[in-house]
Amino acid sequence: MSPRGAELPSPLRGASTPPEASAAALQTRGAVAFLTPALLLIGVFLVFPALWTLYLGITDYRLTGIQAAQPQVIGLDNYTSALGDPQFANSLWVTLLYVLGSAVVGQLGLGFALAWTFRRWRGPARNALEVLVITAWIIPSSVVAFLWIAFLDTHNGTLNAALGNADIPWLFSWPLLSIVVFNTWRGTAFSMLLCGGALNTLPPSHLETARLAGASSWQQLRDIVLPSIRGHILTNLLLISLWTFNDFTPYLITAGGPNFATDTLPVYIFRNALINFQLGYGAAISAILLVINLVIALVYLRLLRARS
Amino acid sequence: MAELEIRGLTKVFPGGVRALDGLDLNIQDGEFFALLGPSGCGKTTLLRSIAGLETPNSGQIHIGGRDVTRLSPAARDVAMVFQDYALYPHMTVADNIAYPLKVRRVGRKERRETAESVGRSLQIQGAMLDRRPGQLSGGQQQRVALARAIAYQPRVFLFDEPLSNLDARLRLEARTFLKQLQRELGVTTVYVTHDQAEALALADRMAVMDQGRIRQLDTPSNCFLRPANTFVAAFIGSTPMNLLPAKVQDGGLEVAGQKVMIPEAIRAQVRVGDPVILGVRPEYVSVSPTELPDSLAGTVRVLENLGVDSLVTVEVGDLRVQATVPEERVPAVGDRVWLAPDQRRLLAYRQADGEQVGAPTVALSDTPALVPGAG
Amino acid sequence: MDRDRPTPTPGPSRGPSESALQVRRLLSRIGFYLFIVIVGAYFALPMLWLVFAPFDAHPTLAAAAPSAFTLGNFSDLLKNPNALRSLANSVVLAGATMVLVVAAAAPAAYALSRVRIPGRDLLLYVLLLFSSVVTGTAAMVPLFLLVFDLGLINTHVGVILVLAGGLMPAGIFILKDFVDSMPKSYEESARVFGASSFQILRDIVLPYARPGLAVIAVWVVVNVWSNFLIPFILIRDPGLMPAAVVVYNFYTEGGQADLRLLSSFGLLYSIPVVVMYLFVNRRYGFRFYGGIKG
Repeated sequence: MSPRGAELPSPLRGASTPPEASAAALQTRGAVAFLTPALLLIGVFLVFPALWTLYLGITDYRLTGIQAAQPQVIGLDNYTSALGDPQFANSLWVTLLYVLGSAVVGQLGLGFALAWTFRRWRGPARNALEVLVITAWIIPSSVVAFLWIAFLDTHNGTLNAALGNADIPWLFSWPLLSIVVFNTWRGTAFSMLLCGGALNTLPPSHLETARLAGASSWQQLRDIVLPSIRGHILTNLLLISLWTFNDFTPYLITAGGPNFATDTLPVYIFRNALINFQLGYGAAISAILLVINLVIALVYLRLLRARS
Repeated sequence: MAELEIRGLTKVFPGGVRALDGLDLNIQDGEFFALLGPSGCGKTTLLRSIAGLETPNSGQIHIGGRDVTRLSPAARDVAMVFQDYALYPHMTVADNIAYPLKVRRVGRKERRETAESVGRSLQIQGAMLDRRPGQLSGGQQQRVALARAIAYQPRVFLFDEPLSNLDARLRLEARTFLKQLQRELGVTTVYVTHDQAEALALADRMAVMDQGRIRQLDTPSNCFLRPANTFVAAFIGSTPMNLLPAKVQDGGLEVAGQKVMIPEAIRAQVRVGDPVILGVRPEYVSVSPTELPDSLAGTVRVLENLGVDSLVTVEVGDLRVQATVPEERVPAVGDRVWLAPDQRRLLAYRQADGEQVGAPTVALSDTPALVPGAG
Repeated sequence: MDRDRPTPTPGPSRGPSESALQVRRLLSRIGFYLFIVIVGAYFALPMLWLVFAPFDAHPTLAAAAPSAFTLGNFSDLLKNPNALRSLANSVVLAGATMVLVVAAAAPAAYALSRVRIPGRDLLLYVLLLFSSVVTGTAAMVPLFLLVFDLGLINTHVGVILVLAGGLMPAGIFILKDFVDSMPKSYEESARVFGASSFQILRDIVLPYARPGLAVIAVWVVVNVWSNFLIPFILIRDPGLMPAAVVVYNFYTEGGQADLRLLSSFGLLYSIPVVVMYLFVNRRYGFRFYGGIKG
């Protein structure tokens, strides 16, 4: 068997011994060092901008001119003028319609419908459809925006061609509807996958019991399925609403027009802050958007917590 | 020199759970020392405190005369083998064994040589050195974990139930292997287990623990033959010791309405009328089909075949007494028999605190703490 | 879909007659197929252009099978320095952001997973909150000003830092999940053998969490590759713009867009992302960590 320890090669004797230190203190110090790079990046480029925006909103900051060198605190003027500006109100209204139409009704509705249909359907057709839906979600936004510009084109667009060579000016006469339909197409995949996952958690025995009792598909859906996955649907709804509120893609399709018909909040902020360079005003509106986001996110996290 | 001294070690977990309660312990250099007890008794907490993975609230730990209580695990010169072996899945066997050297920045060639020589002594060689842990059997993994601890050349080995993941047959083989290995290496070893047979087989000395305290610190032989209290008596031994409530009478004990003799040594420690618990192992109770003086009469209720012997459960009054009998003398269920305990093997415990009669009173804490999962 | 139900025997009727049931079944079948076809067309039609036009010598805005099939659009694309450079820029941005996020998130995830830092749960909650609330859109104003004040406007570094900061919290969460699953004994045994926290991270945690690192790496790359807004507001010089912005420029610049260039460029630009997503899906399935894509 093995000889005594002393006969084994002893690379350890004479190697440096670590300094004596309290175990716990060393651990925490190491942890702080490990956290620093990430926290630094997050602090500077995520936390600080959010807080700074609140301050900027009460100044008259501009990029050029006197205000650039000597921004003055002008109190809540930016905020009050924003809230009183009819264009801001229009923007808020347009965004609300955009969220309701494309996220609440569109993405969630279609996503759920697809998830429900996919439940017991297998085969190449189902897989192909699923891939299509997901691909629509994955293709980068600047490409997708053009695809829809082409699709909806008045004279040469595929949609009009499919409708028997109609010449409907979708983007000019029905801009808001167009971007709602677009965003539904764009984001359904997420809701579909999430609802699919939620439906999977439903024990089949629940539905079978109902079916044996004579419930139709529709009744099963209404009485058993929806109440069970209500929590999932709610959190999904909050998430996609948050994203849609902040979605910049409409800008790439319609740039807010025609005539501010698709002037969602992100577009409104962009135009005021980075085209008109009214940075103080832009910051104020951004702060308002941040507050909206915060409310939605808090409700979402509260719901998540309650569910787990 | 690598003796271990532990003084007044106390560890209270958040929530008030008292895992270690003022422990005092001395382990000699080169000794194989077992910590035995049910789950939650504090044995693993004690082991981890020695390693430095838990910080005690009060008390001291000295290794080889050096106070290590405040030191990080790295500075204590101990090696620990975990229950799940903790072999790193992405490293080969050789790299696993040599990892302690890599930490010390030893060169690659030297690491490989050490891995090979240590491995060879544990029959880990050839192609096995370049496999991944996931490709090894349980027994092989265990040896690799051992090799890694040996390669570190620590002053103390700490084992946390290293055999419990092996199947029964393998466990017995590994037990023998471990005992011999430790003998040859001569390194102080602290070994945690909940298996009393394992502790008895392996240890030079052992500590039986319960709820953060040591109930008996002695050689395995003494723990088996002369358990200090009813807890140790009940815990040790493959067949449970008979613990019979009795009352001291003039010249003997009254057990279930019958009289039994007790040796002078015990008689000197008790007074008539004292309530005691009589302890005797089934192995030391003989069963007779005919009446004997100073024996307990009863009826056979259950027979269990143990291989060489059988375990007979006899109903004596409203008590049940067990005895082992060799195969040629097994009675039948329902037989009337007389049980005669070996006087030299009788033990008596106080009913009040479970300690041996004549032992000093042990102060137990007012609220015996439950220690879930901290054993 | 309704399964076949045992047809009720004729007699005292307790429900709809047999023929009514069959009609209902037929109608629901038709409805199902109609739904599938319409939805299928809805999703497929807009994408068709990207499939056909790049291979068409004379593409129009309509998605039609190529009148003159050609690969010439691609060879022309490869000769277009602007397009190629923008793809290279995308690669640089995606790669550098990935490296930065992985390098910073790994130790952070390890520290948060293993070390009992006071206020850890609060920190995690706040991070999650901030990362959901402070979107690129909501922060575009202060980010623009910040990067401007730091002198990083119109640089890749500025874009990389901003994107890394935004993606970091989610990256940490995903990785932390992986590190959490590592048995504690791995780390403890290494500590007893004398390894420092850094050695444990490098030798044990990172190799163990390799799948997690891969997931984050792919996720960061996909996000940065597709990101339009941040480079759009931070970069002025066309030579530094990534493909996301250049595609947009191609169809918003004055005059008629060159559809051959646009289609081939768009396809080439989109393919890596699609491939990566499908690859990750094949291996790990889509995971949603509080909904990270966006």
